[in-house]
Parts: sequence; C-alpha cells; structure tokens
Amino acid sequence: MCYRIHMIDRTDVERLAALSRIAITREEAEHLGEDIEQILNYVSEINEAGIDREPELETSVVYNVLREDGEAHEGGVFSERLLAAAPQREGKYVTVKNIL
Amino acid sequence: MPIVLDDLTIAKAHTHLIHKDFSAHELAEAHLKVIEAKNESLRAYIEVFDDVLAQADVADRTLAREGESVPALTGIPIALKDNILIEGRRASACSRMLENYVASYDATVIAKLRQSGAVFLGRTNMDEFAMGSSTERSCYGPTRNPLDPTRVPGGSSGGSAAAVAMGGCLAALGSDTGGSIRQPASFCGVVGLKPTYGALSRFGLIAMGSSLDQIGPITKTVGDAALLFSALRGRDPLDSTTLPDESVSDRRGAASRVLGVPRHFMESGLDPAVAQAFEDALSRLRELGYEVRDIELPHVRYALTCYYILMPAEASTNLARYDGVRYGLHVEGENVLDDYMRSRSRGFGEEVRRRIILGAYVLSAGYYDAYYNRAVALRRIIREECAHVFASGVSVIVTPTTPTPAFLLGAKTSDPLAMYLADLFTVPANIAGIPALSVPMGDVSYEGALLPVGLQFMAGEGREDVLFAAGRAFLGEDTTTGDGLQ
Repeated sequence: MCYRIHMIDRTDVERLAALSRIAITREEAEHLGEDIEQILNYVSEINEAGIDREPELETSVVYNVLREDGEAHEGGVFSERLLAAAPQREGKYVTVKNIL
Repeated sequence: MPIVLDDLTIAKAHTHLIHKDFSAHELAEAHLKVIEAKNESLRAYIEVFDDVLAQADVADRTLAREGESVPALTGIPIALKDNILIEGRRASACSRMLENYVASYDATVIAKLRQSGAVFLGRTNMDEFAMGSSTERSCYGPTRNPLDPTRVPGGSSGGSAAAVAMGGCLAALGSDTGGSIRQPASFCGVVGLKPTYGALSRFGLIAMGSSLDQIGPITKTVGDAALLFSALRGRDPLDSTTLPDESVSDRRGAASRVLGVPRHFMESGLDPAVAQAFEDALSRLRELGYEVRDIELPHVRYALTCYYILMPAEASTNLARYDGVRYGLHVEGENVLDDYMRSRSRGFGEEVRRRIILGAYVLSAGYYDAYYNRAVALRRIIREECAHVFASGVSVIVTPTTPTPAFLLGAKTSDPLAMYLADLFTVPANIAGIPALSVPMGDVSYEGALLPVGLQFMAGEGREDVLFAAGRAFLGEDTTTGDGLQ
C-alpha cells in the first residue's frame, strides 16, 4: 500500500463545494475532507489495478445514442403542468433573480 | 374465500382473480390492512395512495369484462420506490429537495403497469437519491427490517424490499445502481432482480448514475420476478439506452448447467456463517444437476473502486439540475448564486453532499486522468472478463449477494466506507451491465439473531432466462405456471 500525503484538505472541499453550488460550513468542510480522503485512499488502489492500456485512448462502453427530431407537439400543451412545479413564477414565466 | 397473503404470489393471485375466488378490491383491502398494522413501526411506505380501492374497482370491472384474457398483472397490488415518477403524484427520491414535487409524467414502467391494470399501493422509502445501502439516509427516517426491526432492511430500495417481506404488497419495484435491489432483497429474505442494463426503460426514473441505473422487481418468488420483467422490458424511444427487442431473443439458446464461482474474490470480508450458507447452496445446486467450477475474474475486486469513481461523477452531474428554479426546494438568497447554494445545501442530505463533492473531485482538472479515465478503462476490462467467462461455457456466476446479513440500525452510519463495502458483490453486475438475481439462501446466525441472506446469480447480457431457470430450480418453484420466457 502506498502512503500519500494529504489528498484533499478543507480548502479543496470548499472549492469543490462552491463549484457544486453547495454551501458548507468550515466544520463540515473539515469533516467531509476526512471522509473523502478515506474514500480516495480506497479508490486510489485503481492505480495498482494493472490497466494495460492508455486511458486517454479508451473509448467508453458507454456512448451517445442520437435520433432525429420528431414532430414537435403543439405549443403550450404541457406548460401549465410544468410551470406549476416552479417555486417562483409569474404567469407563463419562471422567475429568477437578475444574473448580471 | 379468505385471502391468505403469506404464500400468495402474482401468479396465484391472478388465477384466483380469474376464478372469482376473491376480487381485486378484496385483495387490495387485505394488503391495506397489513400496511395499517405494520407500516407505522416499519416505515416501508412513505405514502399509501388514497385511491387504492378505486383503482382496484377499475381492475374488477376489467376482470368482469374480459375474464381470462386479462393481463396477469390486472388487479395486482404493487409498491413503487419513491424515485419512479407517477403522473400527478409526489415523487421525492426521499429528499427534502423534492419533498413537494409532483410528477408531470409517467415513467415508462408505470405506463406499462397501468396498461396491465396493476394497482399502485403507494410509494416506498429509500435512501435519499438512491445513495445508500441501508435506507437510513431517507429524509423521512429509516425503514426497519420486518425480520428484525432493530436492523436495516438494506438500501437503497429498503422500503420496497420491506413492503414485500412484511406482506404489504404482492411485489414492488426498486432501482439498482450498485446493488440497491439485490442487497435489500438479501437482507429481507425476498427475491430481487437487476435486469441487463438497457432491458428496462429508465424514462421517469430519477437519475443517479445513468450508465448504471436499472429499475427491477422485488418479489416473493422468481416466477413473479420473471412475470414482472416480461411485462416491463422493451425498447423505449424515450430512453435511447434501451436495448432493441431483437437483441434479447437472439441470445436464446441452451444454456450450460455450469456455474462459475470466483473464489479469489470471496476471500476476505465474508462472514463465516454466510460463507457456510454459500457452500450449502452450492451443494444444493450440484444435487440439482449443476456443475460448479472455480473461475478467475482478475479485475472484479476493483469493481467497487471503479463504482465509487464513476457513480459519484455521474451523480454529481445528474444532481446539478436541482437548483430550485424549475422545481424542487427553493431557499431565498441574496443573488442567483446564493439561491443555488442555500437551496442545494438545505435540500441535500449529508451523504448526497458527500458524493456530489467526491464526484466533482474525480472529474476535476488534474484528477480526471488518475481517477475517472482509469475507471472507464477498468470498466471495460471487467466487462470483458465477465464476457470471457460466459463464452467459456459457464452460464451463471454465483456469489453470496452480501458479505453479511442485515446489520443493526446505526452500525455503519458514521463510517461511509464501511457502508460502501456492503456492495462488494453486487456492483460488478452494474459495472459490467449484466443481469443479476438475488434469491434467499436460508437463514444464518449473525450477532445473535437468525437472519436471511441472499444467493446471487449473474448471467451474460440479455440472459435473464438463465437466471430465472437457476433461481426457480434452487428455490424449488413450480415451473408449470408460465412466465412468458420459456
């Protein structure tokens, strides 16, 4: 088993949480860092897995399946049903705060 | 005639309904009574639908009109996991994020069940967003194992498995990304099937790991699982990852009666009582005419590692849609970004937040190659190794479903990694995309209690027929009732 220096610390967690749009406290970030470090130690054994091929050249067993656009449904048929789920709406619009 | 639920299966209930031994109304009522008696303490269901008897009455009218020619699922009471969308009803994935979300459409599997005249009893408890192996991560509180209420039912489909085990439904649907149908089936002493990836449509399933997720049945018998599988499978234009219908029947052909056991994979972590039960199960299978062979799956021990890289990566992407704008929990902040941050941290529980951040880590610049890309390569290797075994004359790979029976509530909640290790034997099937069936292999003594534990069969892509044959033989089920797959 290889020992590594700290793989993830509190600031890493805070940065990743920010990217993931999740607010966390300093304590949570500390605690999460420990949990994730433990998990990363476990999954880091992937480096010992003897993968004898270039990862960058690997095409996944998972691939995109596409289709042609079909006939669009009549406009407005589902609008009310969908808008009913929005936490904040005005008439036919979902409202959001100014983003600029 | 009085309804005795204990041995009642879908197949038997169907016969009784056609012969008018009892009505769909009476059948539904019998189950509602069980739910009323047991659900408060076990919490298998988080909601029992208020129109169950009305649904059953519709089924009775269909039975009166069409008699014997009705689909086998007409009037059959089924429980649905809370991550499967039913139009007009709440679906929350047991998360505060979606607590009040009302589905705007039916999942494809629901549309098929509706067409068959099934009765929807209610939605069952689960780990939040299917992230967990114990159903302790539900925002509604845990489900208790009906066989021992101090223990977990397993997860994430713990509510569904408990509902079946307690007699609160004739069958249930769950979802399985890393073992979430099979592990609870093992812990609750019932049957659980994870179909081949793409066999059932994921349209209308709240997504966790899109390349791993499959909906599947949890039932009392293999025959019932086969019945539900037949009714639900099929190509769906709304889910492009579904398999073409021809691909399933193409592979039909005599399956060998050779079972493969990857002993090297079972060397550590397996409880001795479970190991013994497994050997007894193998002896039983030999008596039934199966040959048991040792096989090598050199990379299968890395399947869990692979899973805990790929799944959080996919889940972090899938859960990015929950921003409190179009649906779900909205917590007011000072600006748009603040809205997102507050909504998501309030809406998501601890395990969900942990996996999202882990996913972000393995996908981030500098780590993408070390983790995610390697996991992608490893996935292909594991898949190829399984295919190689099936091509060498082995038709079924056999392992215990879980390393131990059900653990105590609270035993693993403070140790995420210990919880993840419960999935050791189940994740390979999700990684390889192959079908896997868990059947009860008897009770074992564990921590002073007598508890069920599951035997897992895995077969090649599209070979659910092989799983059903092995499972039925093992459980000694009567095969004269057809399942449409003979």
